[in-house]
Amino acid sequence: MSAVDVIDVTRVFDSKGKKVIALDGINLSISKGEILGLLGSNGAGKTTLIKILATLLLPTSGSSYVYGYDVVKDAKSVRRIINLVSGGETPGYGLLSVKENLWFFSQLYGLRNSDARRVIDTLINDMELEQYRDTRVHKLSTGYKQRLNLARGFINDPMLLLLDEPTLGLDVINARHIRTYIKRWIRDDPSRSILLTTHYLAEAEEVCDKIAIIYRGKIIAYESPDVLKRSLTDSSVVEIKLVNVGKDIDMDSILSRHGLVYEILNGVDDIMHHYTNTNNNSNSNSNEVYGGDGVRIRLVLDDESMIPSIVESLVSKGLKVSSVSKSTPTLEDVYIRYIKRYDP
Amino acid sequence: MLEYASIAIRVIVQGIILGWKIESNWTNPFVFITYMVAKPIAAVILVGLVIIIGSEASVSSDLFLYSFIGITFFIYPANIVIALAYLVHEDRAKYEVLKYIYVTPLSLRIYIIGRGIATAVNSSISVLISLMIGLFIFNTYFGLELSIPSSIDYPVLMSSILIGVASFILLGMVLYAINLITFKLQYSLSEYTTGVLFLLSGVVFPIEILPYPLQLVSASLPTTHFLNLIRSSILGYSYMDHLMMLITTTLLLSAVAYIILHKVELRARMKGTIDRKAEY
Amino acid sequence: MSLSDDLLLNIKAIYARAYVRMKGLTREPHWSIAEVTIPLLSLSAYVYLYITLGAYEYMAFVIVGGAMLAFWSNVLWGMSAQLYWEKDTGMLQHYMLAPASRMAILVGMAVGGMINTTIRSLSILAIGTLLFPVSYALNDPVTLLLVFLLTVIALYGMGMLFASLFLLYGREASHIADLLQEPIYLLSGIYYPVISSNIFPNALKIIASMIPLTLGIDAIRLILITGKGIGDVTLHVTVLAVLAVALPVLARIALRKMEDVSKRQGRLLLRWQ
Repeated sequence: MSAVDVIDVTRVFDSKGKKVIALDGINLSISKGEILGLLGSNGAGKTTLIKILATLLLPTSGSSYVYGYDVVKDAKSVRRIINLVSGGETPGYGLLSVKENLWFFSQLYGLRNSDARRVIDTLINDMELEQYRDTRVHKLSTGYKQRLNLARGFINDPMLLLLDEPTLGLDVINARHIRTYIKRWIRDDPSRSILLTTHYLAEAEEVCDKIAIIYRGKIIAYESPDVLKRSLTDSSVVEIKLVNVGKDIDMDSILSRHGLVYEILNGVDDIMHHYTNTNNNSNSNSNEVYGGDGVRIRLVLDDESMIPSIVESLVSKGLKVSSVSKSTPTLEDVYIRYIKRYDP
Repeated sequence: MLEYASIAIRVIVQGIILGWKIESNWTNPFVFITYMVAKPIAAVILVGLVIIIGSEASVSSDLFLYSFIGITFFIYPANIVIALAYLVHEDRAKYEVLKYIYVTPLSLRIYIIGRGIATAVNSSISVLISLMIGLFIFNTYFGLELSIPSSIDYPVLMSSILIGVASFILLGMVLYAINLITFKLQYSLSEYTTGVLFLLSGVVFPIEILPYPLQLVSASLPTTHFLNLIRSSILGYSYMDHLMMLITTTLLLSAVAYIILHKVELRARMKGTIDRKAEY
Repeated sequence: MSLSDDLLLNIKAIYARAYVRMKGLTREPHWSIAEVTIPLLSLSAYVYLYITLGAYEYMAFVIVGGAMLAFWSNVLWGMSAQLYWEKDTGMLQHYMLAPASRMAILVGMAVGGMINTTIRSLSILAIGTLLFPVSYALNDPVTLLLVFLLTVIALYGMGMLFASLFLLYGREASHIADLLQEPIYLLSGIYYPVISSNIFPNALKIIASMIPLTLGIDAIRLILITGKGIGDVTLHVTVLAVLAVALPVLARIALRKMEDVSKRQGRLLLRWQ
């Protein structure tokens, strides 16, 4: 039995006569002990799927099972073994302390007071909230409120944890803390599982065993990160580092001569500028990153022989190339490739 | 100067449009009208019924008209005070736009004035409808023979409303300022204020019934003189004293409001409360 | 999970939700001060109006009505609109997510609200009695307690019923709650007698009697002010008992239906709706 089975799930929203297909025949499963990452841009359907599994929303058609329980018919049984943590939210009562808020939630899951105390002490310790144990929640910073939110997600020791952008808006330290914790949590009991949605591809790559890319309600890729990255081995990923690049340099026109067109893709970090080929059949794309002392351009090319002419174009415009190196494809490269395929 | 005035007018107009849109952003206009009419009408009928039941044998039409006009026109101060006091919570915590409004070149006060005027416009509709429906109900179903004189002094009436609305907006701005630097009184401050005004402004009974110390407080409130002025303009009483008192109390209130707003703004920036959400 | 486990879970949920309410009383005393002072202000205005009319016998009516009004305000804002506010803070989805029943959460809110509001209501009664020269004639305290309990249970049952409206109507429910305030003052006789008055037609009295507050206030006035006993309020007690059972049952049915429809339409958890 899988932890989660989603079979042909569709969800249509009807808003004032206008139909929006949020999920369109989704199929996926999560094995026990697995962390599945669900990637997609805003409005792709990630949160809709999470809400269906969380029994907050009914699917229009299809079935979903959580540890064998039907999310529609056995909602009550599902709720006992799941929990949900939504990033960017800090549910709880401001006038209660950290400890009291956790106790409150423990009672909604029916924990005995003795068990609740033990679990709360453990969670406060794990989330490094000891110094705020008796502090009223409205006085906590965002990062600590989110730690409390995450602690609340573990209060009932769920079998399936649904994490909807859990590190949204958090600083590096808090985000890292959360990622470390969830990896350890899964390792401690292989019967548990996690469904994680995120925009941060590096986070997905670090944490997830499997990745599903969702685009306009459909799953367009569904594999482990390594397998997905290997799907780009027919392409070359090259990094060119340029120094002393002025902001008035027109990178668009330089690279467009090689059929690489500037575009920004939805949902990708704004500092990444992606150049894709005007020929829609081409798999070439590139991106540039403004680093501390120069510009790095990443090129994913079908044909390595393009490299010398690209370098020549850059040099002829007065740019100084400090290095050219081959790189391994990242999950971001994969993501962009798949999205481009469906939305050229 | 001209440019400043032009921007100020535009901001006020935007405040009015925004206030109107927010308050009318409902399922449909019919629900909106019901909300704008049902609540004030219910308050008017409530007072009327108290007088009818309390009078038992016969209802004094003088007292009835006194209270009827009072409760109807009390809609102005009540609505404006509540709207502006609550505005801080709306803009700061609910819609999170306060900081963006604040950092624009023009003063926040101009925006608040616009919102206050929007509420005054809504209130005018409520007052008119309450007057008409109230008279109809009491004359038809309770057999009273009430009528509004045909010789209403409209210039005095309009002046009363204009000056009155100005004073209520000033009072609303004071409450806005208090709510800007506190969090505990977000909901209760307007209720306290309207409660005090309702009790002490001679809304439904003459202030002479109150203990003497409270009468002194009543005399210092613009709402007391506003309502008396309205009654004078409608019922044909002499109005000059009330007009002078309304202007005087409004001017005093404007001085108080100016000082409070100035001090509060500095304090709010010091404490960082302009963009701080209070979450409970 | 067995039936007894289920029951225990729901009892824990009721206790936990009531705990939050009770903590509000002690941790934010300014709320309690406001909820006693503000009603006293308008109550006083009506007392003075009766004094102006020379109708001194109605002063006690107003004070009792004003004290009971605290329950109506709590039912409207502490029950019906509360879930709307919980949605804004993100708490609602966690209530829907938890295995404890939604009804248990509402009952917890009701229990906490009842306790808090009883304290406030008694405060209003006490302070009103001190401020104005009123007198009471209580001869049957047991019936008074019975009437009070039935009224409060029925009222909070109505509150739970209204809470389910929120799930469908979102922001409109908040405005509906606001809309219901003054008309209920009219019909339930907060500041004047309705049932025993001869100015209201019988049809209106019957409609008004469907509001638990109307019958409750009338019966409490009869017992507390005019010294009546169980024999004089038998009809009140009967109707209140029926409402105290029927309203929570209706609330449970409505809550289930609304929750199901909301999950189908996907409107359950949208903020700013």
